[in-house]
Amino acid sequence: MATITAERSAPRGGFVKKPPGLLQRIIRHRADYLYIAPAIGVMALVILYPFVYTIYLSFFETPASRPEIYFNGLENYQELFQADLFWLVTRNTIYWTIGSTILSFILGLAAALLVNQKVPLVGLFRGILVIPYVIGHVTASYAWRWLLHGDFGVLSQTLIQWGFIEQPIPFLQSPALVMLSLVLVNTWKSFPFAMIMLLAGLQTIPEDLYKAARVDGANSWQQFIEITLPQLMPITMVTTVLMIIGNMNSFTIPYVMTGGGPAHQSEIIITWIYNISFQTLRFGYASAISVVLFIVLFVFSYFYVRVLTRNEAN
Amino acid sequence: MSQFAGVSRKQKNLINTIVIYFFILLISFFAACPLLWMLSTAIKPRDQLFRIPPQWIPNHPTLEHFERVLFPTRPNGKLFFRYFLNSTIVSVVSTILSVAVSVPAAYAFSRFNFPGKDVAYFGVLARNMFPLIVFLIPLFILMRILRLQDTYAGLIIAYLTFTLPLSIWLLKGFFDGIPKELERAARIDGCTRFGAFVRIILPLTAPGLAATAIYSFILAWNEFAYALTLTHSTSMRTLPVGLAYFFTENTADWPGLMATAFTISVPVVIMFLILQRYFVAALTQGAIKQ
Repeated sequence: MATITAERSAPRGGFVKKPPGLLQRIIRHRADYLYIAPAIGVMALVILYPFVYTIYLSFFETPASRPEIYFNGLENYQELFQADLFWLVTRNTIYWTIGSTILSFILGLAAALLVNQKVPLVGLFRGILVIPYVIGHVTASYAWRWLLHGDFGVLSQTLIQWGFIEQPIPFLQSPALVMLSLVLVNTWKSFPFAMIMLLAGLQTIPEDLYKAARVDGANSWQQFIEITLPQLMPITMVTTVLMIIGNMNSFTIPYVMTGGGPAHQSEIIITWIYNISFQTLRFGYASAISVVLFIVLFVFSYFYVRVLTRNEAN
Repeated sequence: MSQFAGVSRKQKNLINTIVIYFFILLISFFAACPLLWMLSTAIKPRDQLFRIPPQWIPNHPTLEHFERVLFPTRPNGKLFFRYFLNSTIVSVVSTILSVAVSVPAAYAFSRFNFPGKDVAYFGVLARNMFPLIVFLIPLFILMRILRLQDTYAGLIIAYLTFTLPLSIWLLKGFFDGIPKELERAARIDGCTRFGAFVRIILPLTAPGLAATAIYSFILAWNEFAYALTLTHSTSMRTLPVGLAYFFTENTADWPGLMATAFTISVPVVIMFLILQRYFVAALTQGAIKQ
């Protein structure tokens, strides 16, 4: 269906056509917008509006006792950076994010390498290995809470049975161990994602590279270092950035397993924001923290993407 | 060189296979053991529960816990059925809506070239950078204003926050994988642009559509934070929220908890094991195309 535009058509052998202005291009493509209209409409409502509203709210104080909200400028932000909990929560969040991502990645890489081999029943095992990823977070949290139970958890009891320890370990009650335990659970939950991505990456490496290396006398370890790892770089970067962002956004596992306890020792930034919002009802303050978190994620993503695209350009 | 210099090739392969199997079994046990222990706890009679050393396979397995918490005749069972119904309705409807709205949008991002396309697509991708909390508070307030708090509609709309961008991203990856010549050929034969889209391209992306739908469904089914915050009455809880409340109301009932948790997981795990191929394709297609 030809649309009649307002452009001058170029006479044969004549001069160059003036490129269409923005408005003209919009009009020319007007049918295209119908395709994206519903999606953009919904997203504007449930994504854009809440985002803008959060920024707006972060400059207000929302006392629980009264319905009005008070503009207090940057006070929420000031309070945030001076709060004692801020540094603890930040430290916990970094520990959680980096720890989970690195461990999941290593485990996922090991799993991908194993599952990429041609052994019988490998498809079945691949299916089993993805189970942690599809089990709900709540289910996983309670299963692990029971496994790591301070008195009757099977992990403690098995270690006692094998003679490694005498008393059961309070994984989730001990301030020293709680973050480590949570990271373990998150690793368990997330490694299948890394495994799937890396497996796809492994399968796109051309076999010829390995053949050539073998002809040159390289052994398995050398092949791994010189071929496999470099070839996996692009998918590694995509996977790790997705995992870091996903982990910084985690809520369910810490919330359900410990609620941020004991005494905020396992409080990460999302649970902190949640608890402030729905226990103290200080939505303004919580919004300010959310905005800071968003800025951090945005800056991180921006630089990460730049490094990623610069690598590809090389 | 190799310490296996004297060993035949066949034996080396066998040793290789055994080593690989060993590690695969090790990791598989790590992956599956919480689920196995969950099942083991759920079929253990109460007096065996805290036995030391722990038993993986109980001497007298029982189904009493399943019966107590899940049978429709018991009070817990009624609640559980209601939670299951809620989860199903919310997950199915939000998946359908999300896919229906994403398909044309993903197609447009894949094929068309209109002003603002890059900005809009960047907006779609950028949503992942926003912590869910950033939406939670305003969504909570928005739902109150719209009087949609504690309703199916409210939850479904809220779920679109994450299912939409994800579906668009995944589907665009699938559309990108289909050669543009197909549409060109169809249009030369007289098809309209929309006709080519519906009659030629859509059927070809059926696996991609299925994969995207499955992925969105699983996300919605397992979702906890929004369901927790945007509903407050017992009758509107979804399964994950119901499980959490079960725990806080019955703190010592670990077998009952495990029985419920196991039952909740089974449909998703089975569905996933059957549809593995599509699921994996969905995740990797989008990523590799980037």
